[in-house]
Amino acid sequence: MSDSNKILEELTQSDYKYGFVTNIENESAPKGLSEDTVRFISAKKNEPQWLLDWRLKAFRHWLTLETPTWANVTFPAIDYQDIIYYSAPKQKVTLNSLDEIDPELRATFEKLGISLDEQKRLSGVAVDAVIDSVSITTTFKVKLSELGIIFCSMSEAVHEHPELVKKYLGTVVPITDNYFTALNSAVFSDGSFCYIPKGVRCPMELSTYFRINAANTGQFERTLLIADEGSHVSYLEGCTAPMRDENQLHAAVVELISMERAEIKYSTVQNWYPGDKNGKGGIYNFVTKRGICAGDHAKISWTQVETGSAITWKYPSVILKGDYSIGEFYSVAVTNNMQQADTGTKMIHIGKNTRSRIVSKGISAGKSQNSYRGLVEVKPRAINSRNFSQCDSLLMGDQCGAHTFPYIEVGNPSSIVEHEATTSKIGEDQVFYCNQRGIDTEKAVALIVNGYCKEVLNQLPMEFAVEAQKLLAISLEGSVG
Amino acid sequence: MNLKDLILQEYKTFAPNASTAVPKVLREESIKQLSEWGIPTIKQEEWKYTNLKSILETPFKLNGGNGKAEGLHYYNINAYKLVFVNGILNATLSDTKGIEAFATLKSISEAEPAVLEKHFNKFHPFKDGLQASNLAFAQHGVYLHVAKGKVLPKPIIVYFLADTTQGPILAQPRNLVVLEQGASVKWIESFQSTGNDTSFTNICSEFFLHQDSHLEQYKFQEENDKAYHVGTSQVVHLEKSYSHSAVMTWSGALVRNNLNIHLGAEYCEAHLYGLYLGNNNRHIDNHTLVDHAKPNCYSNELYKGILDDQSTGVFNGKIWVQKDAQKTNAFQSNKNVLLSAKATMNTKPQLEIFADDVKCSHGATVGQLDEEALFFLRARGIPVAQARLLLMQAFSDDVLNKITIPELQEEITATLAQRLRP
Repeated sequence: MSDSNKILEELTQSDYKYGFVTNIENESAPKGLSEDTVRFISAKKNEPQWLLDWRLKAFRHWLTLETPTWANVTFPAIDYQDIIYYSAPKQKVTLNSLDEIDPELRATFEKLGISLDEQKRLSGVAVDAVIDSVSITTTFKVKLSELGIIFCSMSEAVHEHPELVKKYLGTVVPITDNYFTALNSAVFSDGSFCYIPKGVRCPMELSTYFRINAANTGQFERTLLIADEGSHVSYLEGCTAPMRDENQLHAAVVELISMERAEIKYSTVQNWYPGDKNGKGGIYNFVTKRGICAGDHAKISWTQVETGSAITWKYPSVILKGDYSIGEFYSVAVTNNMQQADTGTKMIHIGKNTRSRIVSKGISAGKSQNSYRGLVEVKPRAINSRNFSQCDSLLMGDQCGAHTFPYIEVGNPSSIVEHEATTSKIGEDQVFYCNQRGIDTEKAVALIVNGYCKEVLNQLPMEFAVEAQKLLAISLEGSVG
Repeated sequence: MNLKDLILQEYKTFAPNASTAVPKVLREESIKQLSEWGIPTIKQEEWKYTNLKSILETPFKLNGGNGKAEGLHYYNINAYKLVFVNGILNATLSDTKGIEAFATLKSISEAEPAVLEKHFNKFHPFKDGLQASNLAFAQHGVYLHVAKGKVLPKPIIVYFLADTTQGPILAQPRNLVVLEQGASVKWIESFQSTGNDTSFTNICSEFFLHQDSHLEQYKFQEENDKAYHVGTSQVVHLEKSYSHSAVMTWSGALVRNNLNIHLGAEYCEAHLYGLYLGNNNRHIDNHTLVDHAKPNCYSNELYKGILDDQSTGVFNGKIWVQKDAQKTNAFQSNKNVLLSAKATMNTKPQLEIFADDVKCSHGATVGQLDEEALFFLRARGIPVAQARLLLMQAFSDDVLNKITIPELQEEITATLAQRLRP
């Protein structure tokens, strides 16, 4: 075995750094899924009748569906009756300040490196931290509300801004969209809600840390983000989850609505427990993310760094409805050991002069499978539209696989669509070049991989860029034979 | 009666008299598959963009024995010639004098079972109801076996004519070409039709390339505007063999070309070229697969299309690089020009890679004629129609140049220029 292979082994076999379980008493729904579960969740959250009806409609639709099998991933059938659909950390009193938070929870955050007060003081990031299913704390709320920005948990929004929720919930991702959205719509527990009023530029990066905590709890987050005319917001989402032996299901839905001249930038760093080296355990991450550029000149930009999860199944999409609207998708997806990722995007060009750009970088190591699946659809009325897609794959080791499934459908003659993809490994000559200049193989590979991903990492906000690079370092550096 | 039942019923009369060269179990199994799977629908991923619904109720005649070959257009080349009318060989029109010195040429129903056992039906990655049907009815078609070290002195051209003057015709020819070590052949398939009714050709050609052999195959479609065509070509490569395929489509109502290449040994090389010109309501679908099963192989693919009016183009190019196929070089490119507001192009260049030491790339573009190039030509006094024609010809020349038989290249280029002229 060569030196570099040894490095590969050492690094790729390192334990999951963020594996720990916080002991907080949970108030959980009984296992299983039925109309009663849906009613239980809705009642627990004191939801209005219209939302319960909406959930039940979704549940009844879900019953008629079958698990989709088209993705390039394999996993044992999920027993939906063996999942707890609701679990809330017990909260005795309402909190007035950060100091009143359960110390154990605080410790959890600190282990994750997101000490709330630290962040509050230093980085200017407002964090809506979600542990399991209920938002524990929301910071910077006052500061934001001065500008008229609403940033709160979904359950709060349902009570305090029902008109907004009712107007927009399910408009981008309808309950009938697919199997997992129907499921999510029926049992979603909580999530984030954000509304930026007309002409407001959000002064800080909004951020939510999702975290799965209770054993056997599927997490069904629902995020709704509305940027009204001329507004601007940058939203960060990051995930780490404790070590588990059983697969956990995460079926989230994220909806973005960007009005005329508004801009939404949505960044994700996902580092959920990927399972052990033999593929045991790990999170199933089946997420539906979609944004709509509803008005002219609107813009939505997705950036994602996917390093975790046993299975990732996720296609952040943009519907370019307004004329001159812009959609972007930047992605780094890393798979190692037995991980499987089937990720990509959809760009649906409906408005005139719409533009989209896709940059996807896949890295597969170990025995993992990494797929890019994308759709660029240009409708006949979307004249003068432009798309450029680039999806590159990097293979490390001869046990892994990289796949590309780009669908391109063009329906008018004035649009230009380009797609290019390459697959390669890290060149021996590149490594040699670095070695020759005194850079050891491990560092050289880190350098090359970082360069390979630069185009995407550059899109991340400062705070995330650092975290993303750390993650890449853990999952990748030196993992080249 | 729908198409599937029509075929199943015909099979009952066909089976008792079928040639035993093709094992009966194979036929039985295939006909069972057809009855199970049916005719492909858009629900199947492989047929997502191509809908055969419109011919399902057509009362096709499956046994078109006495078709006439009037109106068949012969290419102006010096070649061995075979003429099939409605899927059945017309010996009087064929001319293969002298080929015996180099190769065995027979009907597939007369082939030796041992040869078939070794070479027949060896690679069928996407078997569907239509391919199953073709296999069940494998009876008429060419079996060409080029002997070791022999180079065919002239190309062999096979005309498949659908005579629709007596009503709709369904033909299902099956060809097998075996190239022994070091053998070389240039193989041309031409599809034409007479009469104004619809026809459905469901053809399968297989090529088995032994070590160091060399294949060039061409496929030209010139059927009428009501013709349906589903053709599958499968090429199996053994060591150091070489194949060069060019598929050109400019007529028919719906054309689907499958080209599946299996690089089953080291140091093989495969080139795939395609050109499609769509106008009116034409639907042209090209599905290709290059299966890199062994190391050190090379494949290169270039498909180009020009789509006008309400025509639809489909391209799906798959490259598989299997686990031990290290040092693979695989390239693929699909370029399309849309000329009208109602033309559509659906393209899906697809890579599936399981080996790390490989160089693979694919690219796909959909666009239109370059405004600046048009301006350049017009500024020099060339009328706009002429300038557009020039640009389109230049665009298609990349593929037309790959026809290595000069007379043929000239003729096809002229035919296509005529077609592109407004």
